[in-house]
Amino acid sequence: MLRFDNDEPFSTGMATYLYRPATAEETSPRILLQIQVGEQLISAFVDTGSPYFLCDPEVASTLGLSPEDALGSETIRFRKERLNGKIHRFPVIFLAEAGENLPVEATMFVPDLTNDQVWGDFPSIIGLSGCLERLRFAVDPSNDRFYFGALP
Amino acid sequence: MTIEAYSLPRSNIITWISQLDLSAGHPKPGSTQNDFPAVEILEWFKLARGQAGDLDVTTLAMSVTDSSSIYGHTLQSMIRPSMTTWERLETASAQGNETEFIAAAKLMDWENCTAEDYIKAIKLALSAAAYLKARLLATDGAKRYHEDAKLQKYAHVLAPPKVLPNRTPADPTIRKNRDWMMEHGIEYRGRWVALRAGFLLATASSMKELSEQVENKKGVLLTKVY
Repeated sequence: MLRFDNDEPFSTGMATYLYRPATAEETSPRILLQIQVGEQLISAFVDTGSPYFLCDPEVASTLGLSPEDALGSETIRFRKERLNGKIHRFPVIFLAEAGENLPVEATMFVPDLTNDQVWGDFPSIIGLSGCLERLRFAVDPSNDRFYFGALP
Repeated sequence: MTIEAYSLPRSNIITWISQLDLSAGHPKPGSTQNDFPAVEILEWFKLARGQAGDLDVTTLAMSVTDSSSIYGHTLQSMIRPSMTTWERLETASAQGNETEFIAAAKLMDWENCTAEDYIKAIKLALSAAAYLKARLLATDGAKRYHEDAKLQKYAHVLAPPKVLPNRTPADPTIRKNRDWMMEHGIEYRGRWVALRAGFLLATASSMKELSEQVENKKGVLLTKVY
């Protein structure tokens, strides 16, 4: 684990990520992590330019999300485009292969699938605002390690 | 004067400049934009409005090579005072313009806003990509209208993420799932796979189909192969 000079821990968990493009159309590699959403282990990539935890609608359909826990239909921006969907509050667990797992109650956005709106083959996305923003995290590209921990 | 000028075609902007030109008694009625370098135009706009020194001119630097953009931004600065704050919020939201949304929100008289107003503003903030502002509005609104269930819900859902206390030990075997993806990913690209500790349990063309194949999903990674 990573530590500060005074030996306090910076991170409490570490996982090795997959570094490759997230879709067949993309060329830039992404940091793909295994993450637990509710009870389900899935893949999601880190994107600090995105808000919230953007949940692949296919994944969301298996999670048993309750509409009562969601806001009504909302519109956010994803890659400068309008994206309609529902916003939930839902637990997401950052899975560690060393240290300990880190459960976070995050804001989750689930895009609506309609005739004029498709999610494509994007994985779920771990965004900054509403998800990563209250965590410490660091990347070591020399061995594809993602470190994470809670703020004190 | 209310003008929706953000996406006006260049010819309309020139026409409007000419009209203002006349109304301000400018010495060159009917002038086109070619007669005015950008800086002069700004000064001239101030003259046309009969006031000076209250324009935010920083946006002018966004494009000095595209004349239509310069004029568009000049107009934007100019028409702000004639739009209501709600109109500004709505326009910023429609454009996904977080900066403009935040600037307009500062002018809003929140003290006199109802719970419905707050909800409307939160929705506009989300669409403007002003996510932190949406959270602040939800928090403020929920404090002011603590009996309003809808605002309470917005405040809860949009609150900062919260680390939960129930930490569990790491599972070193998740590394094997990642290693499997590195080794076999190319063979299964585009397919959904179920993996447990690096062992392939099932494949399918969709998450739903895969989910139906795997009875006990605890500790099983269900993922598309990217």
